[in-house]
Amino acid sequence: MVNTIIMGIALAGGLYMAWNIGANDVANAMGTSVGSRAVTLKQAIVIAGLFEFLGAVLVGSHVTQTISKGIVDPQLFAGAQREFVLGMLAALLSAGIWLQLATYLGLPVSTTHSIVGAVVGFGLVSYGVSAVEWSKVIKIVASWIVSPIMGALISFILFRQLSKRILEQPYPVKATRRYAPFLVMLVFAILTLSFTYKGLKNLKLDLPFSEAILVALGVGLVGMLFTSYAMGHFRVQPSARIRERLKEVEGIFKYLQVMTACYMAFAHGANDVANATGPLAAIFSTMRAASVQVKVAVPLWVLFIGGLGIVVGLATWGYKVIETVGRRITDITPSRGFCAEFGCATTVLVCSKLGMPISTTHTLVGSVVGVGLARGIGALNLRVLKDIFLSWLVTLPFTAGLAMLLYVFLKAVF
Amino acid sequence: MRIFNLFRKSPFEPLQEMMAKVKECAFEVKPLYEALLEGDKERLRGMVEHISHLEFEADQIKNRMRASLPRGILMPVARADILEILANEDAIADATEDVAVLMTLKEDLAVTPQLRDCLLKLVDNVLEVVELASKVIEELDILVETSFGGPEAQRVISMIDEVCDMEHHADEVQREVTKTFLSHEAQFSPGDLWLWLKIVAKTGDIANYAERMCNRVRLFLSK
Repeated sequence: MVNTIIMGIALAGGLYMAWNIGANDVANAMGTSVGSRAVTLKQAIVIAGLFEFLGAVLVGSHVTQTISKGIVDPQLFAGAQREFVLGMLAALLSAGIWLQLATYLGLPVSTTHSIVGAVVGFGLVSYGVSAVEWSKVIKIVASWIVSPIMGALISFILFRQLSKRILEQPYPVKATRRYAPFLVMLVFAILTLSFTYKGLKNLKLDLPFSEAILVALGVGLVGMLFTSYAMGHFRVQPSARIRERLKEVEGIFKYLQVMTACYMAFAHGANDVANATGPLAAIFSTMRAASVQVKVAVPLWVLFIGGLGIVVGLATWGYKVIETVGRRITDITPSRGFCAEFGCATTVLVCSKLGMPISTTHTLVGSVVGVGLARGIGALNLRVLKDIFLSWLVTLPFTAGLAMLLYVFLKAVF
Repeated sequence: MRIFNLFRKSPFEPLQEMMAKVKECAFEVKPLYEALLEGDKERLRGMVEHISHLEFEADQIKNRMRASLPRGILMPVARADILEILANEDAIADATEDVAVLMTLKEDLAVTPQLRDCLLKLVDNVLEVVELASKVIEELDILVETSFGGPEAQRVISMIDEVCDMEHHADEVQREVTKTFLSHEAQFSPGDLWLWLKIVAKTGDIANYAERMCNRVRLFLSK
């Protein structure tokens, strides 16, 4: 009976967290696409719904595992499953409450940082400093610093190349036709590789590296050929003035940005849904086995629940936030949006595969700044970076402290 | 969603808006001169008021823009260059207003038809410079699009070279006009002569500021 109640609360907490991510976080991933008018609000919602879900289910298990088992040592709880379950529940609720509060206050916090802080808090209050896998925590925190820099670097290099090879050419449309197939191949190949290499066993997506890369290259090649064919529709008009030529280039990049919008949603789903499904997976696998599992595959249905929660969050509230965010970002053109999203999504996807829970939003900020440093964007307010840094300093101690309190409370109740 | 405070409004659009207003103001110099030289007091007073109003509107754009350009904003070009271009745009409008005000300082300011023709020639030369300089500013949004490189940048550089040539020519015309005035100094009272030379100098300044503005744009394009 008690177990059923705990399971019910856990399920509700996980769904609440996933709803929160769909309602608030997805907008950050889709904002640059809507802002550049590469996709309409409706298209953004469809893309986000579909690709967040796919990302969550196909790639989400690595990060889920890190959050459910990597931060506190599960072996310490060998004889105390109840404590472990209650602790994960406290972490889930603590992160959810903080996110709600931060959204209300307008702080640029990260869902990922919230859940990591909360799990660390539970580890501290249960078995003290030694319960927390500090080396892992340090690695995670280091990845928070590295990921925006990675995003910035990829986007910077990509935009520099793009300006040199396309925008600065006398016939930029012709240049775009030449390079677009290659860009499409890159995205298709990375995406395919992300779920064929060390992917889900129960979907038979667990190929060795050599096979996975062959499949990825194959899919990439198909994308490349298709794009080459489609580019035939964009005729070069040598008579047009440079103003019109550049407008045409941005028109082509609108199509390419639809692709990176999907890529972003996929990467976001892969990385961020785990913030809800991680604790949920820990709770359910522990209760089902009646012991704390050290190594267990993340149940597919847990990933489904996460994906579903996001889609519901998107449908009930997220679309409004996407609209607001999209209206704010108007000074970004499709070519710039493409570079920022490519850099961000690639970084997030690679980190997800490595089991590193990073912040998609902060990585995107890094990527946008990268494009800005490559002289791509009219004006960026770098003081936002200070706000982000402050929110880092607040999020960890707050969610950790709240998780401690909730854990003590839950233990007293159950 | 504080994260999206990251995006600020691009400074190039207001810079173009400012230039459009400044150009409108500067181009009123021609009818202003005509009103003065035809001795139409009523029209002259109207023109001075109109120019003063345009200058005031340009000032408002300038102040709005300065208020929205604090430190810590990442732009594709240096903040100092943007502010300098803005200051030179403003100086064009200011010089225009100065010319207008100088013309109201003394009643019955008049010249012979010969001087009248060379004055109008100077005005035409100065306005040619302003016209081309404003075209340079109109290219700014495309320069942002191409991230300040490629054939478009080359084209703007040659436009700026042309502005410099034209300004040099306007300088020569200004020198001629000054000489002509001095060679007819007997026609004028000392006060009139002083005022005319001042008006001529201020009119030449309009072209100077336009050139200086374009040379700041050149810095955007240097690699």
